[in-house]
Amino acid sequence: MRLQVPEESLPVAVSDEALVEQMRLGADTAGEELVRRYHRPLVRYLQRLCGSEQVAEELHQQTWLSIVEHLGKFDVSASSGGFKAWVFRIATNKANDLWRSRGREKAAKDGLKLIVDQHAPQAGHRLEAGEQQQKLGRAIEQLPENQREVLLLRYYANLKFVEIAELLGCPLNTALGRMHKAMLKLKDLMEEE
Amino acid sequence: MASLVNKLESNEAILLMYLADELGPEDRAEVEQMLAGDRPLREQLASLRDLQGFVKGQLGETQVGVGAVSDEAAVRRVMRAVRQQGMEAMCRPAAGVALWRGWPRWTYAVAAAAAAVFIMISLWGMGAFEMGGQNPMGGGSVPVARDDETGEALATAPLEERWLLSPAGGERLNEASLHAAELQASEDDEALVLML
Repeated sequence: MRLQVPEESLPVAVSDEALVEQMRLGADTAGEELVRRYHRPLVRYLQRLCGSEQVAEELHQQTWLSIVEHLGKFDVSASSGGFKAWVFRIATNKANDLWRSRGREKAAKDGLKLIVDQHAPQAGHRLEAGEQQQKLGRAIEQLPENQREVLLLRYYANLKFVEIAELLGCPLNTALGRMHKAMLKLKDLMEEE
Repeated sequence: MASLVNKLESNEAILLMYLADELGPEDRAEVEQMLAGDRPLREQLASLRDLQGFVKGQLGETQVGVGAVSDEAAVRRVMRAVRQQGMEAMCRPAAGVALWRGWPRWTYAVAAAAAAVFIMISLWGMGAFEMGGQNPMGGGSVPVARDDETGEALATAPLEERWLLSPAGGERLNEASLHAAELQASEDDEALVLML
């Protein structure tokens, strides 16, 4: 039987971990609050990672299904980044699974046209902001996968470098090195004509 | 807090952590001391700060649109999917439980016994168990002579003989069977054939 915690009984700023505990007890409202809290940063992150808003929403849903399924295994003490890092790790894995299944990594390395163009609106006149958006999308797509992940986790998930390193399973020095290279490469790509 | 600066392997790594404000107070003080006495390091920090600003500006200005699906719509979609997944999990059979185990063993014995009884009844009905076994085709004997008024059988003959005597049946059967009964009594086989 689901425990219905009245919304008004929830404190204003409940921590993620507290909401997770309520979710484990069956409180749907706690789960809804977590989804609401992470929807925008998660979708933005996924959208940059996979290049499509539609795919990002689908991956967002798959991420939460996986979270609910494995909620019992989440251990706050085992992760320095807490629930947020765990969410983004699952989301990253989902995106990587999609990436590998579609073979886009090879496509990106070969400099082929990217899926982001396939989802571009059919418009005769594109706004400058739209072109810039697409250019940025293409530039991000051209980054190596490991550099792209660090960059997006930093700017869209707002995770610390220590948390990013732990999430990706690499040393801190490696994560910082990838971040530096990603920024340099992105700047070069954006400044190209 | 253990020193992190000593574990970082490059100036870029140290400066990135410094810019991200992820160093402890002691590490931060150490880095600032390094910067104060190293001009190239200060220039490297400035360059890195500009680079970071450029990237942040690019990713921040060209905000990814999340307007297509509102937060509330996303919540509804996720909760619906979670409930659906829960229902599908309930409908699936438990792991290791086969959907079909086959018939119980005792049913095979019952079926075999029923089949044997059926065969026995069929054979008995065909007269397979009669003494002498003279009529394997079944039917035993048939009346070959009947009383015209009562219809009572006056004499009978085995089925094989009935075919010999009267393939046409009917009255000829009665005539021939009368004759056949007499002849049978006298055991004159050749006369029987001649009658045909």
